[in-house]
Amino acid sequence: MTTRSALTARYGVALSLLVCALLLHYGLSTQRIAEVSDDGRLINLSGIQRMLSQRTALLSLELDSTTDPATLASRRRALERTLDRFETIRAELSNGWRDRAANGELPYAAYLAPGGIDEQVSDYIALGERLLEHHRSDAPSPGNADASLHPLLAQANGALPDRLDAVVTAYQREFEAKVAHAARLELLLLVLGLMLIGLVGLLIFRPMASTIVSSVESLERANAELRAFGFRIAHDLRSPVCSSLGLIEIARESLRSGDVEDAMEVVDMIGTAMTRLDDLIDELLALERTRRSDEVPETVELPTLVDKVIESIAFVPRFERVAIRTTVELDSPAYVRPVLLRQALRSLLSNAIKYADFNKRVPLVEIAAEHDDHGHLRIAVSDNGLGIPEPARGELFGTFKRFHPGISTGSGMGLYLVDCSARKMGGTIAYEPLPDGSRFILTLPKTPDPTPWTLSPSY
Amino acid sequence: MDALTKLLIVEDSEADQFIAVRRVRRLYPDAEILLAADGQEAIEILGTCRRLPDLILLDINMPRMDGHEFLEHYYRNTSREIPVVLMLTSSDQSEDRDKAARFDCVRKYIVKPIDEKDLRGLPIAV
Repeated sequence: MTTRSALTARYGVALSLLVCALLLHYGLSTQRIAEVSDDGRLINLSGIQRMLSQRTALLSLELDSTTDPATLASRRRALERTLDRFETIRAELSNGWRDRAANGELPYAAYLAPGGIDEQVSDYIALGERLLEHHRSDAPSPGNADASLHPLLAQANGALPDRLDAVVTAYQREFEAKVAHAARLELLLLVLGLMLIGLVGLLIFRPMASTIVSSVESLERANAELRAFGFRIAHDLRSPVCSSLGLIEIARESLRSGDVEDAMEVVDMIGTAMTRLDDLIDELLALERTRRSDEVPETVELPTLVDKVIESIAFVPRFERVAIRTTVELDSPAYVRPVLLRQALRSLLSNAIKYADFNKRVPLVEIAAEHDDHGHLRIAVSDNGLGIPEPARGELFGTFKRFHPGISTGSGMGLYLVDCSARKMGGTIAYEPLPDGSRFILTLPKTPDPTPWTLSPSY
Repeated sequence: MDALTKLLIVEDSEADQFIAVRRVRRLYPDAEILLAADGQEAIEILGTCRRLPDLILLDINMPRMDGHEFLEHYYRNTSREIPVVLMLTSSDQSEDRDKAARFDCVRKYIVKPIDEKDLRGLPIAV
């Protein structure tokens, strides 16, 4: 569940970052497109303005040199339209310059200054208007030009085209500079985008992949363990059955030959094998109960609980030959999961009896419970028994571990079960070798989590 | 068959030890039978034998040192000739068979309970 929410969060962050990057890129691109289209319009307008200045000069000359009334009328209308358009474009460009000049952009302020291009174009249009006015009469004589024609032509042949060219060129330069800037910005965004993808890959997708890989690996491991466990269980269940089949055959032979005493001895052995089978099945059921346990903690009288556990193991062979002492010194009542605790203590105590050293004068088992400095409940089961051989101590709490050949025919599941119960209770089990025996220490939290424990992956 | 005069049974289960001894006794009443509860004990016994047994009946699943570990250990550490070994198991698993097959002294693989016919006509010389 945690893995899943962590993965979802990472995935969400990665996607959000990529979406943000795309939105940022879209915003900047849209802005640039708007700027470029405005620049394009201005370049176009300034070009048209230049063309109109020449057209005005040409029409003025034609107007002045014709006498044909029809031609005169057509040239007059053409000049009128040209001047109207000229003025419209001038006004529009002049507005644009005003805005840019207000932003302090050069050379637009100079265009609007006295003697600047704006003033010159206005004068030029005014000269054209005057010429047009002069030719309103239907039949002016050719060559009788208005005084406005010469200054108009002088301007058209003089500095005006160059200055209008300069406007077009200025716009063109500005446009090119903006395109170059846009290209640089695009490159920068590309680099940033690639870095972002790299970071997302490194900080988000790589950990995600490794989480997934390790989850799959731990599942595969758990699966392999489970299969090995299954094989082993099948083997261990079959083992006493095989022994019994062999023994039954021998008992039959003994009975056939009339040796009832021998047959009885063999039947006893069948009984032992069946008890072993029964114990193993019991432990498997206990393990399953522990795994499924949804027991909640409750306050218990620990001495009573311990006494009940001792009673429940009285059937263990040679129980009566072992002295059991109990010391419970608790400063407050114990708050535990009683079924799981009883199960763990039963396994520890029955082990202590099974592996007691009967060569000792008094084979002894001690159960001591106390609250440690951190308030944890600490239950120690100590004995003066056979102990655990040094090399086996590392794998003490694994499955199917038996360390005393020929002493007892346990299933090898007991300590594994104790470990499972301890973990299920939120605690730990530890082994401490004694100079003359063993000590198992069960440590449980002071206030166990009241909600039932769920299966953890390692369990 | 007469050549089987001494054998070692390595078996942790008391019942299976009992069955094996009975079966061997029936076929070879005069053979000397040594008993070990696991691989480690078997090694100790073999170490003190002046004459090695003709045959070892070896269980696979045992505490402390199992059948496979015993074979590995014995192969690696002894300079003496190795007796014929019959492996005993209560569940026939190919993994166990493959492991055992690596040792040429292992001549047979017996699924328990052991029967007299498993012990007849044994090749007892390596």
